[in-house]
Amino acid sequence: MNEQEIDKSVRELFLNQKLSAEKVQSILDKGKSQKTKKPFWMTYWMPVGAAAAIVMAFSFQFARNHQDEEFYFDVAGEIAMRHNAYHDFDVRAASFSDVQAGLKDLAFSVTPLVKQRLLSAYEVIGARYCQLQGQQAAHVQLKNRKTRALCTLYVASMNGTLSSLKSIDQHVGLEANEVDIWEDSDRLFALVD
Amino acid sequence: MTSNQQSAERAELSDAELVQAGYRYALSIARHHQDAEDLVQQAWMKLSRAYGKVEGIPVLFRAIRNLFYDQKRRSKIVQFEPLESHPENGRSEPKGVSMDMELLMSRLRPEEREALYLNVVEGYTASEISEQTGSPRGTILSHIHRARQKLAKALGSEFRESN
Repeated sequence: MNEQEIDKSVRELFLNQKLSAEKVQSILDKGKSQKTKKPFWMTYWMPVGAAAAIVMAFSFQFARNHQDEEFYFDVAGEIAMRHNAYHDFDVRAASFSDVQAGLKDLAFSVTPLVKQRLLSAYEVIGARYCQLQGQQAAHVQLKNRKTRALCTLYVASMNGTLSSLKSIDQHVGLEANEVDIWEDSDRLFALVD
Repeated sequence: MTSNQQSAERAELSDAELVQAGYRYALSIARHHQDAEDLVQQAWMKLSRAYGKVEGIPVLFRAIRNLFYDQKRRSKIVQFEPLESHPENGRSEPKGVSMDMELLMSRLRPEEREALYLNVVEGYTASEISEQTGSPRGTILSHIHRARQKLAKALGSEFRESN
C-alpha cells in the first residue's frame, strides 16, 4: 500500500464519521444557551471598558491632586500676603490662651495640639480676626525667639473649601516667604516665617 | 485541491459543519466516539460562553485540543499501546478498509493521529500544523511519516512513499 492509498483510507475513515443531526442540533442549542449568559459585545468591549475606566480613574486622581496642589499654593499665597500687609492687631497677647480670651467670637480653639515643638520657637505677640477662603480665621502675630523676626500663624476651621486640605502637612516655598501648612484637629494651621 | 482552496472552504463552514469538523478532529485525538462527542460539545460551549460564537476551525480545534490535553493531564490514565507490539499486527485478514483503519488508527500515538488527520483530511501543511499545535515542523513531518509507516506495516504491506 503506498502513501496515496493510505491517505485515501484515512480520509474515507474520517469523512464517514458524522454526528447525528440531533446531536449536532443539541450542541448548537447548548452553545446558544451559553451565549445569553454573556453578550457577545461584552466579551470584546469589557477589557477595553475596564482599561478606559482605569485610565479615567488615574486621570481624575491626577487632576484632583493637581487641583489640591494649586489650592494649597493659593491658600499659602493668601496667608503670605496678609503676613506682609498687616501689623496692627485687635488684641495684644502673650500666649495662645490670651488670644483665645481676646478673640471671644472665635468658633474654634487656637491652641495647637501638634507641632508644639516648632511653635515653642516663637512667642505670641497679638492677634486679630480674619478670614481665609471665606472661613473664620485667627491671624496670630508671633516673634521668632532666635531671629526676633515678626512671623504669622494662621488658624482657621477646616470648613468649606478648606476641607479639601484635610490631612495636609506641606512646606510651601513662595518667592518672598516660606509657609508651613498642616492640619491640627479639624483646624488649618499655617506658619509664615 | 490546494491548501488555499481548502482554507477558503474552511472559512465558509456553517455552524453544523463546524461541529462535524470539530467532531472528526476530536475523534482523531481522542480515539473513542463518546470522548470525541464530549470534547466537541464542551469546546463549543466554552467558546460560545467566552466569545458568543465559534469563529472558525482553528479556534475550535485549539479549544478541543486544549480540553483533550487538560483532561489527559488530569486523569493520567490514558495508556497507549504501541502499534508494533500488538499481537494481531499484520496477521489478521482485513475485514474492510474502514474497520481496519479505525482499529489501526486507534493504536497510533495521539500526536501521530492528529498530525496525520490534519494533513490528510483537513489539508493543513506541516507548517500550519506546527503553528496550530506548537510542535516544531520537523516533528510534525516525522509524526506524519511514522503514522503512515505504522499503518502500512500493520496493513501488511511495505510502505512506499509516492515522491
